[in-house]
Amino acid sequence: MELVVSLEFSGGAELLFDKVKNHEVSLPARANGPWTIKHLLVWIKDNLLKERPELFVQGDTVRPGILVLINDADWELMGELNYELKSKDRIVFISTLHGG
Amino acid sequence: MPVKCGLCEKKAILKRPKTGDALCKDCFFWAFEEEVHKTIIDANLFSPGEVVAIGASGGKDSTVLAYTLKTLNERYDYKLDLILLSVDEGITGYRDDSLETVKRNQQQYELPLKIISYKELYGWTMDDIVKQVGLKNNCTFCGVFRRQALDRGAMLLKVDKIVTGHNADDIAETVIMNILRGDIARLKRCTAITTGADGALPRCKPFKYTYEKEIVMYAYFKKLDYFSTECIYSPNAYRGHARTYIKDLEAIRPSSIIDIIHSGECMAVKKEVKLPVQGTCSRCGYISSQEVCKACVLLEGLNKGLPKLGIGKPHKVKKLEAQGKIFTDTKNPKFVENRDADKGSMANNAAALDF
Amino acid sequence: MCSVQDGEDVIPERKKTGKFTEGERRPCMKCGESAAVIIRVNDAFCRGCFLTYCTHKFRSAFGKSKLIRDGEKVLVAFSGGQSSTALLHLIQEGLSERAQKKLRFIPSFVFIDEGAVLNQTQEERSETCQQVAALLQQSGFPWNIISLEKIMQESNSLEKFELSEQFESLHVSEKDQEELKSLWNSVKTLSAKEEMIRTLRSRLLVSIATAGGYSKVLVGDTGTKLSIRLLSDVAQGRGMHLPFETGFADCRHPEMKIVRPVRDFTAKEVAMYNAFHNLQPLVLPALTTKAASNASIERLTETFVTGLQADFPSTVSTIFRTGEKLSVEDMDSEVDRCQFCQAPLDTNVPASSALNATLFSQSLSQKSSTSTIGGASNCDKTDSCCGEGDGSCQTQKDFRLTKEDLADVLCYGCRLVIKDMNSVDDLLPANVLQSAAAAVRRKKMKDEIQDFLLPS
Repeated sequence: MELVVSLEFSGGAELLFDKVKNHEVSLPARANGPWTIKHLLVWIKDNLLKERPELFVQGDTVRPGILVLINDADWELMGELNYELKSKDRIVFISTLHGG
Repeated sequence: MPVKCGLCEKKAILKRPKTGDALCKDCFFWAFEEEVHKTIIDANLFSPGEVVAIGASGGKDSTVLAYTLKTLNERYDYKLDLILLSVDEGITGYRDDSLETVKRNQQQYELPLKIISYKELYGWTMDDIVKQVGLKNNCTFCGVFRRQALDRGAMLLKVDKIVTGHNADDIAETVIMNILRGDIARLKRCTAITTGADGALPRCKPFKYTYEKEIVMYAYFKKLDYFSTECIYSPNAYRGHARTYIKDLEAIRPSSIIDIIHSGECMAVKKEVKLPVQGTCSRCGYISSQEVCKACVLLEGLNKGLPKLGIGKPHKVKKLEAQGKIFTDTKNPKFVENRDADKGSMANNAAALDF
Repeated sequence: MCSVQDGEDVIPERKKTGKFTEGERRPCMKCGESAAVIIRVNDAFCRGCFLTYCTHKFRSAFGKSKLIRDGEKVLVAFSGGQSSTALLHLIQEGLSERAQKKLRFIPSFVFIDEGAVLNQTQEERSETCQQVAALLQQSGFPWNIISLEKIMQESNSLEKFELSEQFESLHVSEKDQEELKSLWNSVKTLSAKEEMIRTLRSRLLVSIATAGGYSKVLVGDTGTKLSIRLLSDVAQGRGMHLPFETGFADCRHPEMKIVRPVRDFTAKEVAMYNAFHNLQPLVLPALTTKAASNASIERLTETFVTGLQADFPSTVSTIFRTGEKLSVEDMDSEVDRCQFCQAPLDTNVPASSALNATLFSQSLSQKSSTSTIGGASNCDKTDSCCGEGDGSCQTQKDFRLTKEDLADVLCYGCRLVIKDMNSVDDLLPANVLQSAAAAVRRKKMKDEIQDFLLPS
C-alpha cells in the first residue's frame, strides 16, 4: 500500500528543492519491511532533490547541521534513521547552516 | 618555459609549500637550513658545550632533524654534543624495522645512539599491552610511556636537553586538539618552543616553524634514509579529525598552519582560571598533577589485570585505592627498581611534562 | 615520531543513540510529559518546558551581565535568518507587559542589505528589503534598512541615520556602489571576502549606532556560530582577539559595545524555538550558499564543527568553554589598534615567533624587492607632507598608502585579508584609509624620535 507523508524543507534546505518548501508525497509500497527515515532519505535523494545532493545527505544520514523533526518532535527522540513512517506523518528538515 | 629559481639563475624544481616561491634544489636547502638556524638563534635554544639528545624514531621528522642539527652544528659551530636517543616501544613490524633505520643513521651521521625500551623500563612491550587492552586505548599508554621513557633515557645519558622533531603541522594540530578537548592548560603550553626550562631537562622543538611538507621535500631531495610506515596500532581517531582539518585548511590557504601557531602564541588565559598545579608522583617521583602519575596508574592497571584503570576520570583510581584494591604493594618489582635509580633527579623536573 | 601525546586520553564522548520503540518516548526531564526536543548533550524537554527554558536563558543573559541599563536605547542588527528571527521574538516577549523579569531597554532594528556583494540585481535587492521591511513593520518596533555601500562614505555623512516608517526603495549612490564593487573585486579569495564583509558590517553597524545615539548593538550570534567563529579565527591568526570575537560583549570599539544575547543558545535551540513558535525566518543567500565544504576557511570550519558535533555532542560547548577562559591582556585606551577591525594589535611579538619566522621565510626566498602599490610612495618621498602626524595631509589627492605601510598598522588577521587583495589604495573605505594614514605617519614619527624617548 502507498504511504502518504508530508515533507517540509526550511532554513535554506529548500534551496536544494527548487525553493519549494512543502511536498506531499506518496511512497510506493515496500516489498521487504516498513518505510524508515533511512529509506525516505534515499527516496528524497532519488526523487525530490534538484541539485548538490551532498549538501543534503551524507553517507546514509542527513548532512550534519540539518535538523529533523518528526511530527513536531526532535528525531533524536524517535529513533532517528530507524523511525518507521506512518501514514500522514509530517517530516520537517531545517538547515541550521550558514547560507542554508 | 621552465620556471627560474627566484634566488639564482638556475632552473627551479620546487614550489615552497610555506611561501609559494619557486626555488632550485640548492637554494631550497639553503633557505630550509637558514630558517632552522634562525629559529635556534632567536629562541636561544642551545648554549655551547651542551649535550643534546635527539629523540630519534627513524621517521622523517627526526631523521631530518638529526641531519640538519649535525649540519648546522658544524656550519655555525654551536659546539654541541649530539646524541641519538631512541625509544623501543616493542611494536613488531614497526619499531623493530624503524630502529634499523636509526642504526643506519647512527653510522651515516656518526652520532652515538642509545636505545631505551618499554620492556626494560616498564616490563611490558606495546605488543603485550595491546594484547591486554585491545586497540582502543593503546595510544594512551604509548603516549604516556614514551614521554617518561625519553626523559629516563636522557637522564642515563646525562644530557642537558632533548630535542624532538615536532613540526609546525604537529603544533597547529595540537592547538586545535586542545581547543576541541577544552584543555586550557595544555593550550597555553603547547606553542612554547622550549618546555621545562626551569626544571632539570628542557625539551625543545627546532622545527616549530617548519612545514611538514618541506621536511618531506628536504628528505626527498637530500635522499635521506628514513622509515615511512605508519604505526600498525593506528593512532586515535579523534586526532585524525584535527589532522584532516589542518590539511584541508592548508589546501585553502597555505599559511594557515603558521597562522594557527600565531594564534596559539597570542592567546592569554584569564587570570582567574585555575590551572592544575604540578607536583610529583608519590610512587616514582615523576612530575604529575595527580598524587600518582599517569604512568604509574596505567602500569598498576596492567599489572593488576585492570587495563581500564587510568583511562578516563582520575576519581575512579582514588576510589579503588581507598578500597585497598590497588597500590597495595610499595614495591612494584621492575618498574620501581628501575625508577629508584635516579629518583632524586626526577623530582625537580617539574614543568617538563608537556609540550 | 608518533604525534600522540601524553594526556590525550580525555576525548569527548561519542553520541549514544538509544533504541526506540513506539510508546516509549522519553519524558521531559522537567515535567514528565512526552518530550519534544533533545538539547545540550542528552537532555529531553517537552515543548512548553523548552520554550520556558529559552525565555529564561535569554533574560538571565541580560540580568547576569548588567550591561544594559533600564531605558537604554539599543540597536538590534536583524538579518532575517534563524537567530535574528528568534532574537526579535525573544525581545518582543521580554518587553511585553505580561513578561516576568521584564526587559527594560528600548530597541530599534536595522537590516543591512548586502546584495551588492552577492551579485544581486537591484530588483532582487528591493524584493529582499520589502520582505524584511514587512517583518520589521509587523514587529511594531522602530526600524530602518541600510545598504552596505554606505560604508564607503565618509563617516560624518551617517549623522543622518533615521528610523523609517515604510520601505520605498533602497537609497544607494552610484559612486558608493562602484567603489564597493571595486573593493570587492580586488579581494581574491572567498576566505578573505568573508572576513572583509564581516569587518565592513561591524564598522557600519558601529557607525550607524553612533550616529543614531545608541550605546549598544545587539547581534544574534548563537553559541554554535561563535564556536565555529572561534576555530576559524584561530585558523586565521586571530587567536588574541577571541574574547572580542566570541564573548558576550565585544568591547574593541571604544564607544560602542556589541552584545550577543543569544550566545548561550545553540543553532538547534534557535531553530527549534522558531519551529515551535511557528516563526518563519527568511532564507537570504549568503556568500557560501550552495558552495562546497572547502570553499572558504569559515565554510570548512563549519563543516568540520557540525560534523564533529553530530558524533560528539559536546563539541560546540567544549569549544565555547575553552574560549570563555581566554582574555585580552593590556586593554587600555592607549593601546595601538588595528586600523581596520579596531582590535588591539597582536603584531608586537618577540624575535622567536610565528610572525617573524614567516617574515624571515619570505625575505629568504624572494629577491629583495619593495613593491609599492599604486605608484609613488608616501610622503617620505613627496615633500608635501605637512608633518603634523595627525593625518591631516591625507587630504592631498596624491597621497598613496602602500600595502606594506598599511600592513604595519593592521593586526595579523587583517594583514592576511589585504594579502589576498590585488591592491588596497583607493579601495578601502575612505575613513579606513584616513585613519590608517594617520597611524602610519605617527608610527614613522615615533620611529624617528625613538632614540630620544626615555623608558616609561
